[in-house]
Amino acid sequence: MTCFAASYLVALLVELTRPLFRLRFRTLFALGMASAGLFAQAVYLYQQIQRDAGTGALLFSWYHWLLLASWLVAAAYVTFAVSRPSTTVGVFFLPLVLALTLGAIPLRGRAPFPADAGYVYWASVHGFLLLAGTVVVTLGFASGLMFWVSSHRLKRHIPPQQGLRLPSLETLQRINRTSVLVSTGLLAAGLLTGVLLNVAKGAFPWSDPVILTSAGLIAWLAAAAVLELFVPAARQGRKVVYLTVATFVFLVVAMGVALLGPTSHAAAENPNIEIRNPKQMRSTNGRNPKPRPPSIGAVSGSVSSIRISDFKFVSDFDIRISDFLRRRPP
Amino acid sequence: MSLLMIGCSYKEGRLETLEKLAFSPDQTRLALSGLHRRFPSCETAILSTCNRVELYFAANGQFEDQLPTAAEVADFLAAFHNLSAEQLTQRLVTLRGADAVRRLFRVVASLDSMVVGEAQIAAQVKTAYELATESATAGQELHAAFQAAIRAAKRVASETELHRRRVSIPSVAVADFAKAIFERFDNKRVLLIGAGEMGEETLQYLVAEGAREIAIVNRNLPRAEDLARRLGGAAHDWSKLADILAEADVVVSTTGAPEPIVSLADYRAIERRRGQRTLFALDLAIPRDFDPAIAERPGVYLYSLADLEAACRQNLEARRQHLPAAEQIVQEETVRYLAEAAHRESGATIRRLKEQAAALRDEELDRLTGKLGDIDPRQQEEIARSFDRLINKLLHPPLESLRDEARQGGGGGLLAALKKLFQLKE
Repeated sequence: MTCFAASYLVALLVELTRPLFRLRFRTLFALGMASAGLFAQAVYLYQQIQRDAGTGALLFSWYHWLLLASWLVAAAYVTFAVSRPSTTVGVFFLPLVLALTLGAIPLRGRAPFPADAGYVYWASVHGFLLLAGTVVVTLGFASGLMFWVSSHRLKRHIPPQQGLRLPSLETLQRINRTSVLVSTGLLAAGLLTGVLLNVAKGAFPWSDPVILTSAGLIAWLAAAAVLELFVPAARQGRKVVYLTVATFVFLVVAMGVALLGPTSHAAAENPNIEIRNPKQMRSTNGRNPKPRPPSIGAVSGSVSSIRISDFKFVSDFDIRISDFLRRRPP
Repeated sequence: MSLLMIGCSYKEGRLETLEKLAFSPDQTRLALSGLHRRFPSCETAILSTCNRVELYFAANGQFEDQLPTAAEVADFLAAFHNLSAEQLTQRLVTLRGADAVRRLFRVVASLDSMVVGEAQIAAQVKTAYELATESATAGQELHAAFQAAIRAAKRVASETELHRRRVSIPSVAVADFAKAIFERFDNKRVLLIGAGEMGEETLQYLVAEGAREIAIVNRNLPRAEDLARRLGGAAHDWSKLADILAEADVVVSTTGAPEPIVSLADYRAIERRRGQRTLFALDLAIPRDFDPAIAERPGVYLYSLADLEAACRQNLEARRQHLPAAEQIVQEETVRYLAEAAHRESGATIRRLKEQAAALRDEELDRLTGKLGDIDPRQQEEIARSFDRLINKLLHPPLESLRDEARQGGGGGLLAALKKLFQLKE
């Protein structure tokens, strides 16, 4: 992990020296370092997948989730930089890549998310959708910052060649708009699968802070998307940037709550990881469920005990969803 | 090979002299034919731009002494342009050998231009060379010199940022600012207000970037129609200005109006219709056509002539910072070219010397075998080898010195001496 984080850091440092002095192969070197980091990180993640093969655990821990997110943002950066070699976008992408990578380190010892046997596939879909949504919001944020800087410079008549050459405002605005619309869809779908999963399991943690902040984020994104689609002025210039930056702030708050707050999405350190077997699940989701621990405040590290039974409700509808979600699509 | 340059540039001559000396493409062809008739042993090319008129001559080996003098070229130019030869001689500069090569390389790399780093000169030099090739006055020597000059210019362009900074107002406006705002121009509505020269030039840059939908509004409608015909746009009556401005993405304004033609109130009136769409406005008029307060409106990027001039100055200063690196490249390429030229020439001389020695060897060997009569073939072979070794040992030190001189791009003194000492004929 140190290896790819160091590669990204070197690439960022090389990019930061751009306004200071001329270096003949700077772009090539920075891209080379970022690509090396990307490759090393891909190998590392592959090893993790191999290790956890069969358990479907890759996206079920914050550590892997953040590493995968940072890898996707880094891949987007390398793709963008290769397709537009005259632009200097590394100073905007690489700090985000590093933040996601370094942010994963303290979460290494944390337990996986609660993953009940029989729901692994849909839990993965839930995780991937939220991951993709997060990456798109992050990319939108980076392009929003670029728009803001470029617009600021252009308003002050500073030629773009002086140290920082960014994509055109038109391109950045298009990326911003796309990120708002796509991230709305992905995060909403991610939240929906999460809701369905919890409903299927027979308990929905309505008061979980992650659910609340995520719902707030989706509501915000939905409002932003509606503005984007139906209010012409909101599609232009800085307004789109404000939307993407605010979305990112919302996302950071949601993640902060998820990581630090009292939530079923944040497992304690060194837990006894328990993947419950389907028989146990059936009895849990059956018509006569057993009593559950009263609150998340009492969570001791066992994944199976992270539930808020006070808000659990069971119905025939839940059972049908449960059956559907247990069936892994072909 | 020797290269000779006779001519003058904006540095040496007055602009009116340059104007009188300038050659159109047809005149260039005519002059090249005339020069070829007068100096048939020389290769000739004429480079004529608004800032320089330079005649390049090249001759190899035995014809070097037939290169023209400055007076002869002055006579020719005076006769061609009906000028006084005496006055002309004083204004012409003559450069030979390495100095002429360096001049050509600096010119092509745009280091000798009035606006250092300007892009047109490379194309003008290519045209000059093509005209010389067409007229059959450029041969192997000029070909090598011009190719090397173009190679040096390419190195300067790729290894320095000398050419990347634009310094003319329209080019800075479009390449540095418009392209930082818009990705493409084929779907943008361009409005030109006024039909001035600066506006036309800016419009040409925009058309080169792909702009198709062009509206020209001018108080004098026939003039707008004329410009629209030439650049492929549509001319509109002055009364339509507000409507077209409400739809425009790019505006170039160059009127001579004493008051702003678009006030803040005028802009506010059309702002709702614009829906805060991005507007890139170039106010190239003095006094200004757009109220400066419009620049503060959302989505408006307004540039005045003063803003663009400041950017041009910054770019020019940035170009100057790359000059030492560019000069270093030109110096390296000059040395490389001279070494290659010397190597080419010394190679031919060495070949002739070896051929001459081989002929002598064969002659002496025949004479000796004739005198010795019937001898053993092995002995005959041994004698021939001894002759070869003797010749090689005798020629090795002078030839090595000659190669050293060629590698160092020397002046060819040894080569001339060798030719004289061994009486080598061309």
